[in-house]
Parts: sequence; structure tokens; C-alpha cells
Amino acid sequence: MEFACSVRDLTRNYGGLRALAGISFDIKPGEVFGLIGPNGSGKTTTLRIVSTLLRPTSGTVSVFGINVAEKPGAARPLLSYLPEDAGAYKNLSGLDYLRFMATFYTEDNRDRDKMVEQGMELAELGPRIRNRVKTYSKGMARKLLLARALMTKPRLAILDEPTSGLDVSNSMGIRNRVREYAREGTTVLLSSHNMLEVEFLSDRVALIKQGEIIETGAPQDLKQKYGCRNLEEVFLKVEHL
Amino acid sequence: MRVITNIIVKEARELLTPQMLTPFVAIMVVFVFIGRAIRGERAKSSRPQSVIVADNDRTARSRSIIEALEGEQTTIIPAEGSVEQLLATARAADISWVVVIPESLEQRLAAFETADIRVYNVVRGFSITQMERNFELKALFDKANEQLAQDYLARAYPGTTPENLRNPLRTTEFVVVRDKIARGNADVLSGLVMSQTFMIPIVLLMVLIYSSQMIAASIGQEKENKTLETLLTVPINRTSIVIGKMIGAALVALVVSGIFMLAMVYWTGSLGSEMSAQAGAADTSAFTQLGLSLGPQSYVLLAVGLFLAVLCGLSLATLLAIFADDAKSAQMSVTPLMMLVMIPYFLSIFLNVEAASLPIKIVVYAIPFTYPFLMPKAILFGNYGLVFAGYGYMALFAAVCIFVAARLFSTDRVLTAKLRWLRWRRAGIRS
Repeated sequence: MEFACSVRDLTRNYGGLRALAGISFDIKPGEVFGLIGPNGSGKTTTLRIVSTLLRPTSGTVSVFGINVAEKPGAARPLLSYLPEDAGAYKNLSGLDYLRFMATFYTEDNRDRDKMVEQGMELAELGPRIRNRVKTYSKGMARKLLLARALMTKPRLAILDEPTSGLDVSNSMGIRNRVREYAREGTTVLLSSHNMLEVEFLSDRVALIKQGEIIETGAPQDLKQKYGCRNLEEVFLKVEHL
Repeated sequence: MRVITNIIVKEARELLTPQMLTPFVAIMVVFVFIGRAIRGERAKSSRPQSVIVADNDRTARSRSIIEALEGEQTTIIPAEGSVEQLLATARAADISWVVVIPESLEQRLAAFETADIRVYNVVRGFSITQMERNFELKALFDKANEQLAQDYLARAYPGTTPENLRNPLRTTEFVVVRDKIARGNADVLSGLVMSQTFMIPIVLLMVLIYSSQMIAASIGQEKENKTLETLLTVPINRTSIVIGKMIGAALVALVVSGIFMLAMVYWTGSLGSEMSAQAGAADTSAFTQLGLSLGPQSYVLLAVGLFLAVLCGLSLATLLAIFADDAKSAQMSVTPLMMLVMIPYFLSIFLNVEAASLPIKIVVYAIPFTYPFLMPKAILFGNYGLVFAGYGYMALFAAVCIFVAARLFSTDRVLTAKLRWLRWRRAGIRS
């Protein structure tokens, strides 16, 4: 079986600091896979390596069979990455930002415009899509960025803290959108320190601490296994084992 | 091409904001204002000035001196009275000059003694235009003195040409450039050459500095606004990102430099034409004979040099900005590049690089930005070897920088690289 994403013995050092200490996991096509862990546990480093931004110190990462370190150019058309604190170009309008990004994924302007229409629907910004990004609230900017990440219909969407800093209403909207895309076949790799969010979104999760995966499984299975009501309790129990 | 155009348009839109353009437009307005003020002053100074002359001698000789003082730029106002009265009249009428011719003028001159003509200058300020007017009046007195000396000689040696007695040796100057010889004065020709090339280093300096700052700001903003990570995951060649950014920054730099140039040209006004206006027809003819005029072909050579220099600046600035964290540190990171531009700029003004010692030559020629500053002179003197060697060196330098920048963009160093000295400094602060 070809995995949407396969991570094997992945390590990454920053100078003398070991951010990842040999993690491994597989994600099936169409699955929503969540990485849970506290700040500084290695979630973002993992996502950055999968999205071809960082090179691993050792180990391999494959996206639909393509080794991202060896052939990043071949992997990039398959994936879309939403960094945690990503920004959009402040002096462009939301529409122009979508148009700018869509150009990289399409061969001609007709395809680009179709993709932009899809992005506008996803962003749900109404007429404000024509305003400059610098006039947007944090929620509006995050919706625009998520729309950018999903409008390309990636085979693997990598979302780092997709609802970071958003209010309940905006967070719910984004979660629903992610689930909707997953149902349509997009594989999602997401990270969050909001364990309730990950529990809501993910088919399976990996608990990561200090660069090591300490447990993997479906949220329901993990809760049953450790006799906990939610993933937060599971994490607290597992990290002290 | 579609991808690069997309990046270029985005760069231009991100960099050319009203906030960025406003200071430049404000500076332009200031320059235009200063230019207008200077032109106004010049126009005022070029108007004929009045000179109050009190002729206490009232002889044919004193009248001939007054006639010598009267010219296109002066109007003589005859007056009488004490010095205080004359000065009061000058102050009231806004006249700067009062000339008092003594009673005994003709008598003293007849005895071949010097006559003391008193010149009072009513000063209302100190400026270049004021100094120019002083020189004009002094020149008129020199002319009067010359006339008197010639009269003396004519009286003492009748039948001779006084001019020949005063200047028995005559020099005829020739200027030799390469294998061409023409009659003329080297200083005047130098002025003519300056009039057509003096703006070139200024244009070069501005375009280089602005384009470097633009690309550094662009990369710094991408890092600061966290847009770079997204851009680096899109399915395009990283070299296209580097090239697109460089072209976008160069275009914005051209716009900004254009605004500055308009202001500068207005400010400096007809400086170039004034320089050439000082030269006579003979000098202009010599200038053409010696092939010192920059033709269209020369400007094409200069434009290629400018293009390659900008390419060097952009590629080096890209490399330096990779090590920055944000827009502010990116702007700081191009300081070494500024130094590399300023050094040849000043050296080309104050030093003949070709005549410098070998170590200085090696250092100066190792800086790629040296060549465009030397090119105007090299083209005028037919030193095409330096021009083409400069092209080759700059192209090589830019190619290496672009290659390294593209390599850095292709790795994760573009996200993880930091200036090592900052770490040392921080470590030092902690310890």
C-alpha cells in the first residue's frame, strides 16, 4: 500500500539541539493525521520537513512515494503547507493574493481563475476579498490562508496550528472546512497543541514529546486504552509513563 | 516566464507602496524648491548691477575709467557727496557698489604714480552668487588697469604694439588625446568632458544603492511577514524566485532612481550646459576633433556596464539578506555592499586608479562596482580593454552570487541561516 506520507527514523538537529530524535509514522490516503504535543516538542519541525522546507539530519520522508529530501520539486505539486504564523502579502488584496498563489499551480489563466474562484468560496470573505490584506482581522487573514492552502486541491494538506489565535466561531468554521476536504479525499497532516481540536478533526494522532513519538492511534482507541475522557488526559498519562 | 512575471508584478506591488514613495516624492519636492531658489538667485545675479560712482577728478582720464567700468552687467549711477552720503544712497536704493575716484587721479597717473580708487561693497549676505558679482566688478577694474598700462606703453614706446611689449611670449596650447592632437586648453576640455559625464556616477550610485536596498527589503519582509515559507513550498524552481525578486527590485529601484534623477536634474539645472557654455567655439571644435564626445555607441556601452553592476548589486544583496531575520536587519545586512559601492565612487573622483600602487589597484579592481565608475573615462580614452574586462568580471561575479543565492534558496539555509556575529554578540551579552 502506498502511504500518503511515510516518515522513517526522522531526526533533525539545530546546531547542538536535537529537535527530532528519530520519529516514524505513516499516513494513509484520505486520512486526517494529527500531531499532538506541547510547544517545542518537534511538531513544526516535522511539518517543515514533510513540506520540503527543511532537510532532515537523518531518516526519510516520502509523500506518495516521493522522497521529499531527494526530489523536493516532484513532491511540492502534491502538497500544500499552511505554516502556523503564516502571513499574506499585506499590500495585495485577498483576491490578488489568491491569484498570485494560484498562478504557480496552473498552466494558464483560465485554470488559474477557476482555482481563484474556489479559493474565494473557501475564504468566505465576501466583498472584503477585494480589500488589502493589511486591513484584515487575524481571523480573516487565517481564513484567506487556509483557502490558499486548500484551493489547489492538494493530495496532502499540511496544516500547522490551523486555528491558532482564532475565536470559537472562526475556529469551528475552519475545522469544518478541513473535515469537508478530508471527506473529498485530501489527506491532512495537522499539528496542534489544542488537543481537543485534534481529537475532533483527526482519524489518528501521534503524541510527540521532546522530539519523540510516545504514542500513536485513533483518538477513541487511545482514550479507551488509557481510560481517559479526552486526549489531554491521555497525553498527561502517557508522558508520565 | 509566466511564473517569473507573476513574482515581478507581486514584488513591484509590494514594494511600490504610497508609504515607500512618499518620502522620495517629498525629497523631490524639496529638491525642486531648492532648485527654484537657486535659479531665482542666479537670475537676480545675472541682472545688470548698478554702481554708484563719485568722480572727484572730473578729467578725461577719470571719465575713460568710468566708461571702462560700464558694461553689459553694470549701470553707472553718477553721484556726489561724502562717503557716508554715498553709502546711505546705496543702502536706500539696494545698490551694492560705491566707487570713489580721487581728485588727483589724472595728475598721479601722468606722473606714473598709482592712484587710489576706493571701492565700497555693501554686503547683505555671504553666498556664492554674491562672490560671483564681486569677481565681475574686479574683472572690470582689471580691464581698466590693462587699458591704462597699454596707454603708458604707447606713450613711452611710440610705434610699437603695447600688447606685444606686455606679452613678448605667446603660448599656443594643444591637447593630445591618444593619437589625436587639437588646439585647445586642457582645463576647458576637461570641463566639457565633465559636463557630459558628471551625472553618470551619481546615477550609478543611486541605482545601485536603491536596488540593493529593495531586494534586501523584499527578502526581509518575506521573512518578517512569514510569507517566505509559503512561497518556498510552491511548485516552482527556487532560482525563478530569486530571479523574479531581483528583476522586481531592479524595476522598483529604477522608478525610485528616476524620481530622484528628475529632482536632481532640476536641482543642478543647467550645470552641464553652463560648463560647456564657458567653452568657446574653438574648444568645442577641439573637443569634437579629439573624439571626446560620448556618442550613442558609448552610451550603449555604459548602459551595459550599469546593467551588469546592478545585477552584481542585486545578487550580492540577495546573498547578504538571506542571513537577515526581518526587514530591518535585511536593510542593515547590505551595509558591506554600500561600502563596496562608495569606495570606488570616491576613488574615481579623487584618484587616478590606473596610476595607483599595485596593492591599491588589486583591491580596487577586485570590487566589481569599480568598473562602471571607470567606464566613462575608459570609453572616452579608447581603453576598451578595461570596459570589456569589467563586463567579464561583473558577469562572473553576478553569476557566482546568483548561483550561491539560488543554492541557498534551494536548501533550508534560507530559513535557518543567521549572522554568526549576532550569536557571538548575544553570547557575549549573556556571559
